[in-house]
Amino acid sequence: MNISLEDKAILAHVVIDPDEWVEHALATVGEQAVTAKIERYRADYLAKKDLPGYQTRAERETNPYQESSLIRGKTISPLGPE
Amino acid sequence: MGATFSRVKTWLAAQTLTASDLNAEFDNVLNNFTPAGLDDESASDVAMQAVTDPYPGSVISKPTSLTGELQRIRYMINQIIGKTYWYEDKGGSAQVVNTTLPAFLVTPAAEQTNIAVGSVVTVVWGTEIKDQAGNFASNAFTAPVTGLYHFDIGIRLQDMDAASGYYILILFTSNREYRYIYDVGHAADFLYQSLVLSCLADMDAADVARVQILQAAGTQQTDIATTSWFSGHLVC
Repeated sequence: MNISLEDKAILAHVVIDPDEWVEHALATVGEQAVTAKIERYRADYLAKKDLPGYQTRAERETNPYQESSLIRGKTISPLGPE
Repeated sequence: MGATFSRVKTWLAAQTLTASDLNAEFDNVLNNFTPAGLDDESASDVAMQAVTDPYPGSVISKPTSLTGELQRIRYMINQIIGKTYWYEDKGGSAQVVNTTLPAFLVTPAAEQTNIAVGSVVTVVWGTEIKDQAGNFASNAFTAPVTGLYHFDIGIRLQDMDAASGYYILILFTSNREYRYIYDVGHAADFLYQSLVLSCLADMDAADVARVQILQAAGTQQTDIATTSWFSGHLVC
């Protein structure tokens, strides 16, 4: 299955590892799952990709548990830890 | 024969057709050409059981006759009621069990001992109590279709380390993570603590869901007990 760079960027907008996700999708459900997911998130990706500071999901979650480390230092907001 | 009613008159050669005869025959057809007047019943058990998949390979299969239409509706009734034949009753109960809905319940086959510290650990589910539709494998559930899925997780941790600071229970899904943080408020190590998490997860077809746990710091000594569980099913 050929996936364009833009399609891959759309998947990276949603999942952490697009290559791993596509490989699993093709092995379990099939090409239609890949196509459907790309089409589902295309509009959201196009609306956000040129915004300042845009990051892929992997970039957004480089250290997903860092916030929790701050909790130990009591630097969180009074709204709660998570 | 396509009708269950008969002609008004059987004509012989050289007979004279009158307006009255003609009107009577047309009235006969017009008045009796109703569902009850159509000869469309199944001629045998086999005919009554005949079904046709209306959507083979995700492509619509249009009927070319009323029989074909009925066969497609029977096929869907079979899918809904989960019976071999569409006409099988449910023994007087109004409850319908959907035996094709993706659903699973798994537990650990053995204790997962001394989980790693400072990194995310995937919980190992070696025993499948139930895996309806066969979507659970390699410690992960794969969504067969796009939809909302409900998940429940119960993790019993043992030999917990007070120096950990915190533990995080994570339901990882391809689109996002759902987390439950446990702030260790103990001065000394403690024997056990259950962490539970429930959520309604938005998943696309082929997305995965797996359970992970993080011990933030301390000593590698915490175990995951076999009384833990992970279950889920498609809601809508």
